[in-house]
Amino acid sequence: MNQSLQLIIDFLNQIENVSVEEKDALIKAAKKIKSDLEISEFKLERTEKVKRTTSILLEETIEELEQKRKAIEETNLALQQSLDNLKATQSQLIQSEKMASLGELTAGIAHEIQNPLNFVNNFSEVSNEMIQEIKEERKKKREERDEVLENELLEDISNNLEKITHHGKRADAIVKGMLQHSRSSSAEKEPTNINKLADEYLRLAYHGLRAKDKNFNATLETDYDDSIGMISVIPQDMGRVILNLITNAFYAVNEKKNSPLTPNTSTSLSTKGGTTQSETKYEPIVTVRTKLISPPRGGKGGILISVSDNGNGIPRHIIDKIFQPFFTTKPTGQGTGLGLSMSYDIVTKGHGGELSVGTKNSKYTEFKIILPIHQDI
Amino acid sequence: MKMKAKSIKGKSTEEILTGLEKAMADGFKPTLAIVFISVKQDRKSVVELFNNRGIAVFGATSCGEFIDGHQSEGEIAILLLAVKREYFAINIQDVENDNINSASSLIAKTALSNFKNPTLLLSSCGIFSNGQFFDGEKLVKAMVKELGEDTVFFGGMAGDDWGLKNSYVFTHQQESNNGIVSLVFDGDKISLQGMAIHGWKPLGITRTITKSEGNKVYSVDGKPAAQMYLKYLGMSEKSIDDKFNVFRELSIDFPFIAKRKDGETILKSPKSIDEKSNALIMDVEMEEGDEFHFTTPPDFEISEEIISEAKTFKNNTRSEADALLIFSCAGRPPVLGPLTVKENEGLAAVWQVPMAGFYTYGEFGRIKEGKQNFHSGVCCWVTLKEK
Repeated sequence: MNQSLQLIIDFLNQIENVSVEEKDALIKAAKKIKSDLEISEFKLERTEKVKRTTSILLEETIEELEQKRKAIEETNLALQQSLDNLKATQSQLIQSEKMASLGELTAGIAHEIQNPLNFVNNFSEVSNEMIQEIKEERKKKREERDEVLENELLEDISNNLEKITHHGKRADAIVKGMLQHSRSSSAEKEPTNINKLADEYLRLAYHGLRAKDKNFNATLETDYDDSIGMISVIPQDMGRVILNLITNAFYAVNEKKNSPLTPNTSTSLSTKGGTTQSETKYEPIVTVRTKLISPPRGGKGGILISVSDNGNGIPRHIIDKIFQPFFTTKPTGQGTGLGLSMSYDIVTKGHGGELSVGTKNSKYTEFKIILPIHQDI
Repeated sequence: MKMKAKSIKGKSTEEILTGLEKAMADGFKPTLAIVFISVKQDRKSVVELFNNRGIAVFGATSCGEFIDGHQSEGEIAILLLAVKREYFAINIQDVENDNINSASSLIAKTALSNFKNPTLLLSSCGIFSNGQFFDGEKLVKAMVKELGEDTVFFGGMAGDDWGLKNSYVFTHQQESNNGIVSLVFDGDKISLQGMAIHGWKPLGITRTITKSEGNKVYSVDGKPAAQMYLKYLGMSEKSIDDKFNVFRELSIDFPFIAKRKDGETILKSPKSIDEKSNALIMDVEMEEGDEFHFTTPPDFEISEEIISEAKTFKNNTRSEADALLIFSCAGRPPVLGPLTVKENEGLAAVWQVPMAGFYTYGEFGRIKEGKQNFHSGVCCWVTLKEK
């Protein structure tokens, strides 16, 4: 093709019966065609070469990626199996955490049920005696019977039955609460008296611990803000959180009390200078308080639930880890390490609230739950 | 002010003499000759020709050379400039004991002693007498360290018509087969502006160097590097062919494209395969952990893109030029064929000033809005303008 063009150019150079300008224009056009043709030929050749090479490269890359995909698939499968195992183990652990906290409650619940049961037994016994008395009275001749007494006895029996019913219902409520606590399915939020909930779990936890350890003792201080009213929470979940914090607080004060470094009696110490210093006996105190937080700048506000203890505090180097799952400072077998992490999830994810901790070495630890008041109850 | 410039070319010293006399016939008195010359030509006689006329020389051997309207191989292309002697200085420095850092620092320090605000054209040998490739990255790093980020320098590495044996840089007084030559301008009097573009595009997935030492790459993604490179580019059967030239026959078209720490990219080419270790010997060092892609050559539109970018630059900056130099990678003609002529001529047409250039073994310059860097595979143009 180029040879043909060259022929044309040579011919154009030779012909004489055209003007110089026309000849130049024709030669220029032919040269342009020649240049364009060269470029086209080059483009064609290079396109073929590049197409061939890039297609090999892409084929090799695709094959490599296919191998990688298979390897990743196999790894994924193995990972999925591990993940399933992990999830199964985690759910077992979570359930065991629930059961462990239930165990902590058992003694307290027994204590709580004992009271209504005592009432039921006592009132039943007294009522039975009263019925016997009425029967005795009725055996008498009509003119000797004291109808006023009979009526009084019947009235008393009626009152006693009301009390038996009341205490029976109380026991029923405690048992239902216990069942709710151990339930695994997620429940709905419902208007709840937070003060009552906190107080109930405080007492249950305290009596539970006392039942297990006769030497355990602590001063319980409460400061409930009655203006809180009813708050929409999942009662068994929030109860679980409060129980967990209170149990931890009891554990902390008990640890401090049993520490050989903690003074167990009030003593006066003489020093070289002749002055005396007194060392005060350690009094374990666990405080639960609630407070309505006034809404900032027109917001809806919230409530504070605080559980504090005067134990040894949480060491600085572990403070960032305490909400991590499976982190525990308790001896092996005594804690799952899920209590605070579950509490954190319940407060933050389940209720849109905040759970924070404040602590000072050898002085105190305070956990603060802040719950927003979102819903109109 | 306008600095007068003319470009001349020739197949021999005699043709250069004729061209020079013709150029000076109208009273044009060049003070400086920028000479790009094939190793096949008689450099000494050409240099002497200028020396005898008191014309300073900044020169480099080429791998193909051109002026506006003429492309050649094995010939001579020269840009003549009538620039005041107090506006420029020429320095040359041998690289001793392979210490590129030290030689480059000296070049930079000398430039700072020449002018308070220097701007430079540079050329280094592309291939030392021992066959080793000049590491342009080291030169740029050392220069920038001394001169600062803002000092502008452009240039290219000397070639040897693909002989890959030895290339040379020279002045009117001295020649070096392992050195750097610099043409230092007073930046307050002469300005240099330019741009570098390559056009190669990444292809496939990100690759990682898993074992390397200096410019030897042993493995990529855990696989033997040379074997993988040949296999992926359809040249597996060449691995046993002694005559196979990996650079000329493969990596010129399909170099690696690597990302720099500053976000810019650089082409890195396997120059050969080490027979003993089967490693790829690269033109520029690659460290373990470095990431890169295989590439596909520039589209055919790259020439238009280069010319269009130059037009936009000229319009946006309202710049004018007295002369134009082009340092175009020697790898471009095999890949872009007649399109390289199109891009060189197109650039000359944009600036409409005398132009000279050569095909290089590596380029120094800046991409659009980029930093001062060493490049490979680029078309790097630079305008010279007296302020």
